[in-house]
Amino acid sequence: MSYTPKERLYRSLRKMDVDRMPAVCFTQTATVEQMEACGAFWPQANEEPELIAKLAEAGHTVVGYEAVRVPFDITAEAEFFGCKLKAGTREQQPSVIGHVAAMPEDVDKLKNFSFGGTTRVDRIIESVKILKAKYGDEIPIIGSMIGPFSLAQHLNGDDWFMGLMTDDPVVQPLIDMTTDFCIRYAQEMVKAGASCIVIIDPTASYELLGDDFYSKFAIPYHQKIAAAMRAMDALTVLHICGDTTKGIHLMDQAGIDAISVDQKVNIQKAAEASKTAIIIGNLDPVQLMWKGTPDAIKAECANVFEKGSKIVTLGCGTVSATPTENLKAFAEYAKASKY
Amino acid sequence: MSEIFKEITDAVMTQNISGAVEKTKEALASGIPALEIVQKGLSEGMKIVGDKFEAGELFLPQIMMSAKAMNNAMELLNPELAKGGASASAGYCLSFVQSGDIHDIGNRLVATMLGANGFTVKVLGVDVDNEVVIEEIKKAPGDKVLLAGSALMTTSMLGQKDLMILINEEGVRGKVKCMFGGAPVSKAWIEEIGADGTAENAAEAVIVARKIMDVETSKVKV
Repeated sequence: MSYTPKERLYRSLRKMDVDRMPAVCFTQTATVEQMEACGAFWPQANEEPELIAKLAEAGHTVVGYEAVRVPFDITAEAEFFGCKLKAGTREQQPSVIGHVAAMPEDVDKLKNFSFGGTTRVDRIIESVKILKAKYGDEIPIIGSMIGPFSLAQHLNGDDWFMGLMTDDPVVQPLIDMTTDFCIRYAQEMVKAGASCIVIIDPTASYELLGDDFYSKFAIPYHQKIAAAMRAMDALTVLHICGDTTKGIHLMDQAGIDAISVDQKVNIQKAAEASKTAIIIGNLDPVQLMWKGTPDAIKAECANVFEKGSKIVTLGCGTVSATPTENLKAFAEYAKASKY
Repeated sequence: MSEIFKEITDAVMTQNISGAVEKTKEALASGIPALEIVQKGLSEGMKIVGDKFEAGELFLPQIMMSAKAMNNAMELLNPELAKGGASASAGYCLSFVQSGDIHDIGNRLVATMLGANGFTVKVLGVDVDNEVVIEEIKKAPGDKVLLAGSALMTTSMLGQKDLMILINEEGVRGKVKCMFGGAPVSKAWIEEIGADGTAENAAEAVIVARKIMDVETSKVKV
């Protein structure tokens, strides 16, 4: 039985019978070599729908990934709400440097947002449509977005973490609002043609929050997004940075299809701890993928697969300087694999 | 007298901001030297909080609250410390993320832990240009400054090399001890660029910082 890449991704994330793992990178895919190969470069390729789509496509046409994924950073959402950004460069992603929601009144002003305008979020949705028109139901389109916890932190600033403890009045309305945004943004991407949504919530890390804060400020909001996606039969992957080994059983309560883990995570323990979601990851993007050799990469792929990673892939975003031959090595491993 | 120190330590440990301030006031009013309040009360509390964080018993929100409790109490003590010409600080530190990076949590943790361990930390934030770091080094009080710089991506890591070159060109190398961290940073890289140290995590960063700043040997002047 052979499957289209879209079917294979669906079946492997939903724990259905399938021939092999898909060759997919769920975190940032773009590299300078791919930019040179396709002619779409950062920072313009973070901005214009055609260029976003073109660079996303390079993951498929240049590296051989069996999916195309947009966008390449997690700042468009904060920008959407008016946070000041520092512009990115050809090698570097933009970053959030200003905050807009210190008080509940600030949240009130932000919560009547809508899509369909000209913001970067809207242009990312456009890029999904472009890819859908080209790849139809053959190649799956992955839409990624920042998670509600990290978006709230972007909007609120560093006091966010203290606010969780002091029950700051901004905390609840803000995370409700960011969750609402994430649900609607994800729905827009699915309507535009994405079949899989990656929620990147880097600062909602168990390593930083522990049981109580994670249970209170991450799980319920991830659950809402997961439920909304399941209602549309869209796949969900949750990626959180740091050593989340001890928090896997909590992340698993979100109802997502896969937990994408960082290279610091003990993949064997993670695989044992997760009862519902599959564990995917966790190749080191720096020491292995950027600095390593294709042989070392294939050996490590076999290692993490054996330890319980159901889809062997990167543990965090691809470093833009990563050589294509290294990315190909991991994609080839996936294509030669057998479940 | 040891009772009041314990109460201050407990207030910091339990993130009791107003309690830490009240007990510090009480201790000052009873004639206890400010330096002793810092060393036997506040710092002790932060040290315990730091240990509990490393052990996975406390987390970032508590650490930040405890640090705030300590800082608020320090505002009462600083004028007293200045009168005696004494500094309870283990050193002045500039913390920054080299450039565009979504993973600034590591740097924030290092800054918090350094603050918890007696360093006076000025947080420059993310996306800090090398020229700004140089200016801050020149403006920094005292004759020795600790740089705690993070770079999580390759390009920002390359910026560390440029920063070291700039530090030498601007003639401030003698004033700074340079500690860099982040996923791509290795000991070999630190040697290549001529910096002073690196650490795997926030706890190790404190140990490295104390070592390269000579905290144990120079001690506190009273």
